[in-house]
Amino acid sequence: MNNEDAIEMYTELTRILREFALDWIVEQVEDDIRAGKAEQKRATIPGDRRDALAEAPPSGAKISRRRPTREEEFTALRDFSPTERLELLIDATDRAVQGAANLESQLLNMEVFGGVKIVLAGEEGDNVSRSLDAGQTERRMQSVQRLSRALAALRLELRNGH
Amino acid sequence: MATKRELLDEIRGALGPAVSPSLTNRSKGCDIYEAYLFALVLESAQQEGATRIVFENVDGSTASTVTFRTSPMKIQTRTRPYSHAVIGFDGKPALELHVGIFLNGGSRVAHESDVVVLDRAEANACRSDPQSEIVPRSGKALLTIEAKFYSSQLKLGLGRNFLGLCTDYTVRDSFLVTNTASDSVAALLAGRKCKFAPQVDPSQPSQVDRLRGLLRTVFFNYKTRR
Repeated sequence: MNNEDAIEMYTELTRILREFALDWIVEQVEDDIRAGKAEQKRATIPGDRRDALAEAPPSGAKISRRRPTREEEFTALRDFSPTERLELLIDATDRAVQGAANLESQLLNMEVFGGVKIVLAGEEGDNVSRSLDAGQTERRMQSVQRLSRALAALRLELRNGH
Repeated sequence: MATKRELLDEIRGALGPAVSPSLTNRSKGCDIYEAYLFALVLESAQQEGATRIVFENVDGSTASTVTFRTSPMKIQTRTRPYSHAVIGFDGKPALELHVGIFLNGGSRVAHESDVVVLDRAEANACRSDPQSEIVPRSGKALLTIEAKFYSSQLKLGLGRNFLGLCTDYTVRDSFLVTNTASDSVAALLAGRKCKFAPQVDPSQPSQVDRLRGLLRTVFFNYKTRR
């Protein structure tokens, strides 16, 4: 996939995520993109030079020996390429959607709850309350697998450079 | 091979039914993650030999349904029958495990605490008068967890916030737990008193075991402390 295609696919995937109120995934990825990709780089540090001194040393003062030029390791931040950006978005979508479905499924099977009903509830006024349901979770897991396959195909296309 | 358009259509078709209601713009998966970490704390207490684990509602009744808060609230809030777990170890004062309550720091500022294990006596004192609005003190907590469910790398700023929180908390053990990774947060918190547990997710059993081990150590120390 060339850069132009990657930019177009990124925009399309962003649009799809926003359709399903998953703007926060896009925002978290865009935070990463803004921060840049951290890489370790070696750079040359020039040795000490007499002309780097702010003031000339007093006459007769001993001048320390010149330090040699050396290489040291630095952290560099570079921009993500369009294909890397698309890969970040694919991974984030997969991690969030699959992760949440896995958590639900896991919670329903944890022995520590002893089979009691689990409810997630906000304040009374905000009308956000739901109980975890095994049937719904199982159906959701099937859709998650379908989504993961589609995202994997897109990732493969990206890596193969088609 | 599917065209790019076909792949996007497939993603759109699968995404709707795959999205958990916990993945809203408001919750961002945090409520389900906090419930999962609550369960891991309970499992760790059980593995460390807790002799009593029961679910209780805010009014003191036994909970037949475990109701988790999805936003931080006062420990006394009774708008719904919010639940906590009571944890008992032989010969030790009982503990309570809560999700999403406020906890007072040393500065007497009330912080949102995602998962907290607290002295039962402190929790009872706060609940004894529902109108009192007293906030439990972090010095009476055994452990706290900041839970971060993230789709991408955990941001360094969250690590910095956690460090700030830890300086105000007087709790002995605080954890920043996330489903994702972050080299920068790991480096920031390496060797510090407050601990970082990345990639804690059912798909990463070794990381889940690592957190369980850390939590078990907290309960072990509680049991053996004189």
